[in-house]
Amino acid sequence: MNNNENRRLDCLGDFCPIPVVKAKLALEEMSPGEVLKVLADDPAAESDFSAWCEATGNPLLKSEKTEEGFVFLIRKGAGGRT
Amino acid sequence: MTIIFMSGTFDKAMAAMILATTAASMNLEVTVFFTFWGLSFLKKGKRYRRKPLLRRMLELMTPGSMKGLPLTHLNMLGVGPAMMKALMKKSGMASLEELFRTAAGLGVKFYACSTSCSVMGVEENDLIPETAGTVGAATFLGEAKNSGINLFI
Repeated sequence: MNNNENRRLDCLGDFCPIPVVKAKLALEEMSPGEVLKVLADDPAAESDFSAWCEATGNPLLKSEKTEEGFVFLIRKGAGGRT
Repeated sequence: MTIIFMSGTFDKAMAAMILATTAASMNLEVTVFFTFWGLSFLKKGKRYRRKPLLRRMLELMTPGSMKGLPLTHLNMLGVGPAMMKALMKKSGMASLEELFRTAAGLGVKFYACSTSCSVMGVEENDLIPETAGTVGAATFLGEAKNSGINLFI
């Protein structure tokens, strides 16, 4: 399975809990196996996406700190959950 | 997740709505039970008609809707909440109303406490349409029993 993004989500400027809510809504529209790229600059996003992905069964492929904030790659899980 | 929202203040309502939307985004079933002072959150506005004196006085002195909730600290006769809301808007934070609408859209259930409604003279028509029902403690506890997280705010 490749890790190329299928969809990009801009959460720059959003505070907790908006980034994870936006990610949930975006993943709902995607198919299992597809990859969502999330850009966020909320300082809480790093630990929040890690916990959120764990809780929802959507693997977090990448969590990277950049100059702008963070980049996350999330694969939609196969369990039919978002 | 189940939440009892009793305090009826803006800052605590923010905490309740942030946790409700986040839990719903994590696929947890979320129920919020509004009781006593918290009931103001679900009200459409103030209604004085067809109410006896004591209830009219209560209506006068309590917030008519989620827009009018006071701050727990530094309320300063309503100046505090206005300052807090301005600060939140400036920093790009979602408002209480936005968080509430998001929670409702994610399927969070909002119940009004039946006893609080009876005591305060709040009728079903006085509540916003997102209210899933007016229920008692047993209904709430029935849901809380099966929930891994229960909060009293």
